[in-house]
Amino acid sequence: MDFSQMNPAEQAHMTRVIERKQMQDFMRMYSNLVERCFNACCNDFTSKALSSKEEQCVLNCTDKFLKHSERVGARFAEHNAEMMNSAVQK
Amino acid sequence: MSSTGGDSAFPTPKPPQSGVRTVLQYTGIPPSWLDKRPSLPSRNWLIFLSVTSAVTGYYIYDRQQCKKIRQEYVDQVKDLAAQPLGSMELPRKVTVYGAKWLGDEDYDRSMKYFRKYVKPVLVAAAVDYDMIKGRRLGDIARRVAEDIRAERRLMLGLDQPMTGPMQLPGTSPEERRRRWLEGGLVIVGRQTLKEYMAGLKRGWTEGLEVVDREEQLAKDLENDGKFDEPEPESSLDSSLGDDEPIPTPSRIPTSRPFSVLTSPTLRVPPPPKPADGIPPHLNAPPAVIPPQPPMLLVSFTNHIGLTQIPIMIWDFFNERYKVRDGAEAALKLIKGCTRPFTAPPPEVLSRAEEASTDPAQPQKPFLAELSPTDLDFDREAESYYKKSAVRDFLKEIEAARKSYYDGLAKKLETARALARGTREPTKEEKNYPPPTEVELRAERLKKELRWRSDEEGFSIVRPEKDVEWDERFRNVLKVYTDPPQDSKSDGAPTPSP
Repeated sequence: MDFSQMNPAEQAHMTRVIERKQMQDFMRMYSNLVERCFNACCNDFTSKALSSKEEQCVLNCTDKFLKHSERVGARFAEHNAEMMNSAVQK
Repeated sequence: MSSTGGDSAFPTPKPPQSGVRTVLQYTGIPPSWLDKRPSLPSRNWLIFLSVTSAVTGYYIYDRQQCKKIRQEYVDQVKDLAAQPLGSMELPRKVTVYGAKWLGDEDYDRSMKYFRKYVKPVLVAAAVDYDMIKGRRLGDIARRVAEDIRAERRLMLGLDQPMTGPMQLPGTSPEERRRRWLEGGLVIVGRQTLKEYMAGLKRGWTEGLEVVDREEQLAKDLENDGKFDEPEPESSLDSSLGDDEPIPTPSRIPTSRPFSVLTSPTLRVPPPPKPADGIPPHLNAPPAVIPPQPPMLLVSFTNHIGLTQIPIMIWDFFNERYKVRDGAEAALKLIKGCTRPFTAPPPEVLSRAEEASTDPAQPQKPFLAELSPTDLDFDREAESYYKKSAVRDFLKEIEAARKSYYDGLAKKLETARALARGTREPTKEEKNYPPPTEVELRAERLKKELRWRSDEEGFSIVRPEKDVEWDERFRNVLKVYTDPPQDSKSDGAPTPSP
């Protein structure tokens, strides 16, 4: 984002917009995560409480999801950088 | 009263029948079948069945063995794939080079060998690979040389490194270099080794100016007299030097500088650095070369031609040997034990060089008589080159050149006559317009580029020529080898993350 060419009011506005988008993205990711982990881990509704197995499963699920999203982000950024480099070089 | 020979009213009772016959006799099977003795089929059938079943059986046995061998090697390495890797870390990446086999139009064969026999084990161990193919002879040499020169320019600060908008933790130049060194190279076949070493030597010896091959070639071709008019305009030709880059269409006889027009429109040129802009102390070949990643030498032979068909058939039925060799090589790569690249000592090399400077003479068997070094890797594969391909390669290029230039004058004449309007196009020329002069020049450039690259590549790859070697490479190259046999559990492997 090109912050040097905007005056402070526009900068503040842009920052607010970006923040809102990030919040939305975050909430979306959270609900996606909850749905997936529930579908994957909780199949037995004979009891209301979360058993320790399910607890462990949920832990693993959240961990893996976040690590996965981090890695996908890294690969994507790398890919983008490469494409931009080759576009600049051409 | 006789028990034998009854009459028609009272036939002799049949003897009690045993077992299966009693059960089957009422099923409707013709009784003569129940009395037959088992016998072999006829002689002809026997021959047919035995031959077919032998061939099919051997094929099936071979493929089953292939699967078994592959699975055995995969099982040895698959635990590596299950190891956790941090989300910001990258897996190990090897670079695979596969050059074109002399005489084969299919340039992909060495890479296909890699894909079929070495890759499955790498995939099972979760090792990433980058495949670099050489489409024509000498491609890999050129590419390696270009890469090295680009890196040298970066190191000396002549070029700025490309930095994107954000810096990722794994992509700083030191990190990249470290990963490249740990990754390793795979070299499939002796021709690839020759090309790679030639590229390496060239990259570390040549100067650092940015040279565009096509432009260079265009300049060389301009001075060639091929596009000149047949009329005696020699005085005018000599007066126009090369310092007249802009075409002057008013001077009708000369038509040289068109090629300069065609090339710039195809690129967006960054202004080329002048060749004398690089101070000589930077341009000189460095005395010491930084360490190179270790190489895995994979022997590869491509069989082409009628005389090699029996060998091809044998190979078809005995693929398990290739599977084992490929998997063994992949295992060496994954385990990561290295040893230095061996080459004959410098005195031997210099003796061999002065003895055989004439490329037409066969190489004296100097080097091969000493203990075999890595420079003689896979020499026996070269004996499988098609003799006609080796012998006639340069002659074919010469013949193609000659026939092209013989036909060129006539086409040029038509093009010029039509362009200047001295002649109206005939009906068929209206429908299928013949190539204009610009097109003819472009075509000539393309053909010359192709021929010259082929000739250069052939001079690197031909069987009489040895693998290129430079004294600076002596302690810098490494080769993957088998882990030491004595049961040290962690022998001396280079770490593979």
